[in-house]
Amino acid sequence: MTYRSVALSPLVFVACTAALAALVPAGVRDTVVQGEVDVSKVLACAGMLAAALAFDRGDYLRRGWGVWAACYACLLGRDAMLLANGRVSLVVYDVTRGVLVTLGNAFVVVGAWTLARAWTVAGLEHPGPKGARRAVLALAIVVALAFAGPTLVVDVRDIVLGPRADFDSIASDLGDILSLPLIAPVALTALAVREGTLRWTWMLLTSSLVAWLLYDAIYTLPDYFSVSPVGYRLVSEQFHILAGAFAGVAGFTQRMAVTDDDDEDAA
Amino acid sequence: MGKPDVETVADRIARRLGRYLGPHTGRVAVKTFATRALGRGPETLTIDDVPAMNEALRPMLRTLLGKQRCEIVIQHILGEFGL
Repeated sequence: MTYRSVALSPLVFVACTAALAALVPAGVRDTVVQGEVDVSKVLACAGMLAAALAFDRGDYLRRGWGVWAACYACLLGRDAMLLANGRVSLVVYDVTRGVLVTLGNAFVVVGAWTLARAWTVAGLEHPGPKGARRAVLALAIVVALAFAGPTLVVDVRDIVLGPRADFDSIASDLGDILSLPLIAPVALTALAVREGTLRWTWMLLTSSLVAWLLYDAIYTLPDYFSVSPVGYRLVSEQFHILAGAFAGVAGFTQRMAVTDDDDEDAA
Repeated sequence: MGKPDVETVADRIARRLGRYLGPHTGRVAVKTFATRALGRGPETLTIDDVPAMNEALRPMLRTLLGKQRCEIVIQHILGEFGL
């Protein structure tokens, strides 16, 4: 299997999930989309775990990939709790979901931070003038705040005014705000290795974070404009699925780059 | 302008790194670590400098490719020069 075909597979996957979501009866659409999201999370968890296990104990990227895989495992656990809704007490349900989401978002921040710093830890400088690199990072911070910030404000307001605290939403918002600006160093790493085999991993990881950003952006649209919630949710969830699929495939290409038993002299 | 007829030591190391990092970044890495570890430009590298360059490149390779692949790349660089 070539890097190119592996890299394109998330787009094919999302074309299929979008078509399925559009074709199923409206009454089961939410359930089908939730199932699709969970399949993409399984893919992300498996791919990132495969990448982590391609490295030896003590290797820097083993920790980054492993922690990010743990994030997806926690988010899958949170979704699995949906099946327990009504069968356990509301307190147990809320606390378990809250802990899993908080852990998951802590893991994504640590995982993304670790991978984003890999180039610097390796002793290399990202391409381009220092000013341009700082501008890219500043832009990523502004965009992340613009899209994830309003949701955080709404969720904090709901906790203050509402009858039931929704702390897992706050954890998700903070996770997004802290991890999405890391698109900048990850994208700069992808740019640095754009002609080598590692480009696939870093381009796909960048694509995953961009898909997360677009997921947040579409979710935030109703805060800025009057948008029908049904249509935008259907679209936003496809970006959610795409983010997971890209993350998984990024992990698989990292494993390929590290473990392929090829003849380097023939390359 | 065509390619030089004979690859320099730096070019040959960069070519090995370029497989993973790309040719341009491979050359940048050789320049960075030659300057940092040997205090000289890549154009001054000789075969005698290859073991020292490998040691300088090892942390970068281990970070980006892991211990096992790092050792394979190091062996290939040594093999490139018959060391």
